Amino acid sequence: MDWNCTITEERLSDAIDGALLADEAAAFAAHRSACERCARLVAQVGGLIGRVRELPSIAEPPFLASRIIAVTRGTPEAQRAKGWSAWSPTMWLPRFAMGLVTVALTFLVVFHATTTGPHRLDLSPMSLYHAVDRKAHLTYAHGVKFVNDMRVVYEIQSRLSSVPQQPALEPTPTPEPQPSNPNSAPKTQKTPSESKGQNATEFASLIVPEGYSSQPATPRSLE
Amino acid sequence: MVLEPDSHLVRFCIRGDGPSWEELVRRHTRRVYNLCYRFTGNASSAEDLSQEVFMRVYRTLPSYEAAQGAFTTWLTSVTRNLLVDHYRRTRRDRLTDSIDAMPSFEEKPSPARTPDSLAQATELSTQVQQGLARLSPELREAVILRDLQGMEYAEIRAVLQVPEGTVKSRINRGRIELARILEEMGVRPA
Repeated sequence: MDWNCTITEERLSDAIDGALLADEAAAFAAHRSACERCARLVAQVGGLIGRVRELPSIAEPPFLASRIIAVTRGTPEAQRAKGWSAWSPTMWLPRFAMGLVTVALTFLVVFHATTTGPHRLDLSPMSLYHAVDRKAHLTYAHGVKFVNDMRVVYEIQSRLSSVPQQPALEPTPTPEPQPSNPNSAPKTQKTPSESKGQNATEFASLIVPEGYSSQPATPRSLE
Repeated sequence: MVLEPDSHLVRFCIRGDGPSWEELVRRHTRRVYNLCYRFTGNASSAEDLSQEVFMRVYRTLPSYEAAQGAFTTWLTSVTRNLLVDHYRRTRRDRLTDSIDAMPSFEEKPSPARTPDSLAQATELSTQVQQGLARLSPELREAVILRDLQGMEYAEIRAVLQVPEGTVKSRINRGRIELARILEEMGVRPA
């Protein structure tokens, strides 16, 4: 057999494990004795792997087996035989508990709605249509009212801004006494409070529609 | 005392026999723990993964069929699948934490050994663990299954779901690479 270094390296494990056939083992031994490099490789790998194989196994922690048994809790059949009690550790997982509470609340809401909530008649298509129609009209009416209110407010604001610019509200110049008529009573100048009263009256006339008055209406004559 | 075969224990477990399940767990915990520890190089991860393995076994025990192979092979397959998942899950952590590439070791060798041999075994075990950590995952798992778990080629093929030629190639390359690393670390052959 034509045995070389490449074959020696490829079949090294077989040689270590004693898996070479008789003629292969002979060729291997012959090459090994002739090739210093291969002899060194076989000695190195064979010797070191021999030591590795003799290594004692590592002792597991003493509690490991008991912990595994505790976790697995017997056999699958025993687990099944426990029935609902087997679920108890799972029951108290936060995720499971939250799901359970949610389902319970859902049932509670549905039950409450079917007993004290709207009756089945209220859920008929016609009832729903009328309810929606009423809601739409109410919404529209509220909108219209809001727009009208805003319009009044804007009108009041615009008129108020125009009131101070009227000459009537300017301070009235005091007329010079007439020397030609000394007996006539002198006219007194209007006080600021009187000016304010006049302004308020004008303001009231702005916002109060015609025909209405805050003063008691004088009885109209039938004439 | 005659040990009940694993296949019998599994059958009893499926029927609901609690003590059989406990026996099965106690019998294989060390094997699973060692596999996890050798692959991850971390005692805490190995504990968590061992527990995860048995939880999965517990759920999927009825799917085991004795005709398809030994319970040990099936258990190793489950363990290996979880280790692969764990490796993928922690890939990003390893990349971002490359400075801490060397795992911490908490060797707990078996009792009944002299202090000298115990110390030597502990030191060699640590060095082997460091060497394994430098192997690619494919080569690492092949060497662990063959040389630390003592599995046969056919069993490894069943676990890894690859052709036997691939198994042999990986074991061979893994051994040569591990030997080179150990020699660099100053470990001498027997």
